[in-house]
Amino acid sequence: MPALPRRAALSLAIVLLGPLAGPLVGCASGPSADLYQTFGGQPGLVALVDDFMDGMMRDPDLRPYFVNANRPHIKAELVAQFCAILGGPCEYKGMDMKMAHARYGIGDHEFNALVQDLQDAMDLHHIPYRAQNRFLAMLAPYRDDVVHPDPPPRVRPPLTIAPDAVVVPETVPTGGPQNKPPPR
Amino acid sequence: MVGWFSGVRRQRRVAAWAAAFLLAAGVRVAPPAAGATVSRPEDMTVSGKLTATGGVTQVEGAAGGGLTPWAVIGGGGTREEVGATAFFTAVRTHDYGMNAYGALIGLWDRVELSVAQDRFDTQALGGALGLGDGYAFTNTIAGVKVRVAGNAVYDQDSWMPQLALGAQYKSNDRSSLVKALGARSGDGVDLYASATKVLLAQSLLLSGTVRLTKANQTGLLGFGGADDDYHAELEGSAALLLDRTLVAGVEYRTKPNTLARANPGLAPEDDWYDAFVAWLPGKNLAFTLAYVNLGRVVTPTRQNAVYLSLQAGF
Ligand code: HEM
Repeated sequence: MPALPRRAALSLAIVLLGPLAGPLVGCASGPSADLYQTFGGQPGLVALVDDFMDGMMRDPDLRPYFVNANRPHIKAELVAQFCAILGGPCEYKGMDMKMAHARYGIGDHEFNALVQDLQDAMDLHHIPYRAQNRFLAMLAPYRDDVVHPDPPPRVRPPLTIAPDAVVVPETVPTGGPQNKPPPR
Repeated sequence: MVGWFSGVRRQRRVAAWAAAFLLAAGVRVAPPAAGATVSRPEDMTVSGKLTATGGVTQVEGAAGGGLTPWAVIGGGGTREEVGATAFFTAVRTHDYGMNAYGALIGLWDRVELSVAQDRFDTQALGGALGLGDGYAFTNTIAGVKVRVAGNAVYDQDSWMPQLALGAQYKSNDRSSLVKALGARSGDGVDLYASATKVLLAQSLLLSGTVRLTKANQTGLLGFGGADDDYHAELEGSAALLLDRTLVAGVEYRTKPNTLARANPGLAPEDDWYDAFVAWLPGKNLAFTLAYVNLGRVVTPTRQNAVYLSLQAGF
């Protein structure tokens, strides 16, 4: 093949492939009900987030951030957020991402550690890799809100509330008040 | 690398001395309340990048695919981190063998510094060409790459790719021979701009590079020939992320044809292309297997090559 047409074809490919790749395979991106179903709907997400949080608690990079946090609350917010992102019938009513994370001075190392723990949890729940990536593609833009703009490599910003002031039990004690309808 | 390690060590030593001093002085340092300090870890972290997002190492030593650089910064470190990788690549065609090896450091996901050596062995063909059996050309390459904008992985809500500018200084150890063949010089500098994008929702990676170069066969046959001008060449990679540890793709790299125009005794220089599979079983380890077509190299035979590469980070 003569060099010139081949070269022209390549430059065309490079110029065209970028903008075209999205629309061409565009049907595979963005939220959709089928993606929500792939994640097992509401029960699937609750189970996924449970394992996700357990994984983070085993991860030395992330454990310090969550060990004294209100994990049941965070998990509930995560389920609502993931559900909304995946196109499920939910609305996220939790804190703004920047507000929730700004004071922790989170770096890319921790952000990526969280992504990998999430991937581990998704693997555990047999969510197909391509569906995982469609979900992660929608989570990735949160990175700019979650990580500190200029993470202090060593400095630890003070917390406004001592995080060990309240110890939150992991599970609701059994026999506690239950949301049963009153007997007729 | 060395400076960084010793820096960490020095800090630890200072801390140990300070602790000893305080103990001797009878001062009790209250340990920080558990959990009261939640932020980035005290100690320097490494290898925080997502697996596979630093690419592998191309033949000239830059992080990228096998043949072309990508806009990513190698070394596996995030913007808070410094990291390094070393690589060894073996390319075998019917007539030739090439070994490439080198190392790079990535600084804060911003700057990449690399060194590499490509040793091109003419094997038996060297004898046939009158150079002697096993005559080899060695190209030594020092590279720098700077990320100027964007992030290939995080910016999933925009089309903005990661952009980097780079330079590779190359020096050929057979300067007088390549000049006798018609090249103008035994060393030269390539300048390039790369754009790399991971389309995560499509599990696809696209990368393109424009390179300004005078190099013949990447510099293995010197620089310049019929002219001594910079030629703009295009290089591209497209790869599918198959799972968390497997990437498969194709690459294409155009090359100028300067030396053969000065020396009709040489076969024209062809573009290079390849199809590869890279397996990245851990953050610091990558194996790449590829089929590479090097086209004609000096002789009219088309050189189909097997390409094997190992990269390890530390
Ligand atoms: C895509 C990435 C992330 C998403 C989508 C996310 C989402 C959330 C959500 C929905 C909450 C609950 C907010 C609320 O209470 O209303 C939360 C809280 C929290 N997140 Fe994240 N997060 C991300 C990354 C991270 C990372 C990388 C870290 C730490 C390294 C982290 C640490 C925390 C902590 C400590 C809280 C509790 C905040 C507080 O109550 O003070 N998050 N996150």
